[in-house]
Amino acid sequence: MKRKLAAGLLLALSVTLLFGLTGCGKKDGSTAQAAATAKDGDGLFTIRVASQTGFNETQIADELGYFKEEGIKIKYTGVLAKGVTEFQTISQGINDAFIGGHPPNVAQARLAGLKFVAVAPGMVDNPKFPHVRYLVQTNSPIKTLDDIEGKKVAITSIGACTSGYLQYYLKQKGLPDNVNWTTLSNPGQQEQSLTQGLVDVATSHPPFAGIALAAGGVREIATSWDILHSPGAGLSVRGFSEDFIKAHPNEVKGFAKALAKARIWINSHQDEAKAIIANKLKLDPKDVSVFWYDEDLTINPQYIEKWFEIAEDIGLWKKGEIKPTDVYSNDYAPTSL
Amino acid sequence: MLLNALRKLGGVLYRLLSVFIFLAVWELAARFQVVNPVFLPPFSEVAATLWKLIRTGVLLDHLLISLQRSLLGFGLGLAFAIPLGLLIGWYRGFERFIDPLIQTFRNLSVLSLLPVFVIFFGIGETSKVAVIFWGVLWAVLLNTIAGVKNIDLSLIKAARSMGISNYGLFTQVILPGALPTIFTGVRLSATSSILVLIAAEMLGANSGLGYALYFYQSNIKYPEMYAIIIVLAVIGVAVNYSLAAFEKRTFRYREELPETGSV
Repeated sequence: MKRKLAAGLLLALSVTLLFGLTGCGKKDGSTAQAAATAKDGDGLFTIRVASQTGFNETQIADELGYFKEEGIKIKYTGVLAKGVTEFQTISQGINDAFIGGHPPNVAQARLAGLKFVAVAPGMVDNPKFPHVRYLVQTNSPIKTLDDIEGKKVAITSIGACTSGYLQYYLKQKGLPDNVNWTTLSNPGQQEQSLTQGLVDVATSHPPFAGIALAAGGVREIATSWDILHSPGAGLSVRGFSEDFIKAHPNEVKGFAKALAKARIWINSHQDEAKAIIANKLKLDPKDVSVFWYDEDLTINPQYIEKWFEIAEDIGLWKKGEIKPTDVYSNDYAPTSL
Repeated sequence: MLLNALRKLGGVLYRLLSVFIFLAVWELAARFQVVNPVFLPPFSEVAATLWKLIRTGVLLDHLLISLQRSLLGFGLGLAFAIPLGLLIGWYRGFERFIDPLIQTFRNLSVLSLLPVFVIFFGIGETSKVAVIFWGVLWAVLLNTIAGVKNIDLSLIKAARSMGISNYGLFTQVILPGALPTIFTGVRLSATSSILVLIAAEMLGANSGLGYALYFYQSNIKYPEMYAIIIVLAVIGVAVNYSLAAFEKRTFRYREELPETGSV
């Protein structure tokens, strides 16, 4: 009797534990749809996204009223915890759209079984606003990327735009890949470690690259532009789950259109855009790094192919496991603004 | 005879029953999609992934470097904490002096100190070992102090009345008397050296179980992530049980608590 009771209790406990741990979401986005379908009293369709800690065009589109023009309202649901992906929160029904990340992230989510599709481009690489800057100490003997052999290079994690670009560079140049990669996942830790002399090179991303250069003691030896010479090297993408797109194609189109307007506006109004973000994040505008945005209305297939090439090179997945065309769709992109 | 063996087998199985039920619920919940199987892959799939990690040698690489860090931090922690604890327990005045500092430090979370460890010890092996050292230090230290302080006073008096020297008192009465309590601290620390390892391996690591856990999570490889979690659980349990067995053999003279409950 006692044993049965104990076993029963345990069963109940493990069931609760399992459900609690996984948020009880049965299928991708099904709960997301249920929550988002309901329009609010103002007649606007709510799309939920993760709160941002840096520059993002979604906030600009929101501030300029571009979403409202499309009958959409943006709701910020909180900053992502460390290691948690937007794809996870969308599948759990917390968010609807992902507004961060590069094409390989979408590919990895799809490989894991989470069917997401990018519907809009975000920032792109630009010689004046580089996606990655390779920084060394001012007095470092490292002059160019050719000198990184055998050196300690900091990365946030193994990824295309961290170790991937450099490995691509070394391969192009026929140099051996014997770099000592050092993972420093906390924001700003790479730059701090570089200043302390704990690493030789930082693969610095905005806003930390700008902050570190302004603080002094470090210099730039090259940027991602020098390696790939393509706007695609910085491409971020924004999108939804397949289920959400199927259920709300018009809202997805509206979302993509609002973002497209914002991208073009930001490139021609960088100071105003910085001021908006600084105000929202309660930062000094000089501490906000602005990005260069893709002015194309659609996602450029060549950019995605390049990302795939690099991701496959560093073994994020095997060639052929997923196709570049699987991760994006231009069916929801605006044809005119 | 046979009945006895069966009863014994039943006993062993019953002890493992809770684990089996948990695994079964896990498997079924994922199989029937009660929970999203992407986020909680069935146990069988995780087990298969674990086997793959073992077969390809990936796991062994991570495991060896992690164990090395854990053992080093743990060993240094013991080497420092036990002598210090004996000293503090022996000299009451010193204890009154140092106790507030110990209490403050011991209540500082290792996680909150991670940035400090990076500043002082950099991002190499030193900082990782230092984090583990900090993580194991307190349980051993406090148990050692308690062990010395709680020795039966009549034993000390008896030894004194036989004219024992201070050195003899320490080696023949205090140390053997305190050992069981010290060992409890060691056991607690051994477990925490594994737990703290995860935090330590987020400091500029390229290998180790903590690094693997972070890597698989951020690359959306959930079966691998769960496989690493299982490995960590198994290590924790193995360390704890083997130390408990060692304790039982070594300190037979220590009184056992009567078993509670009738199960």
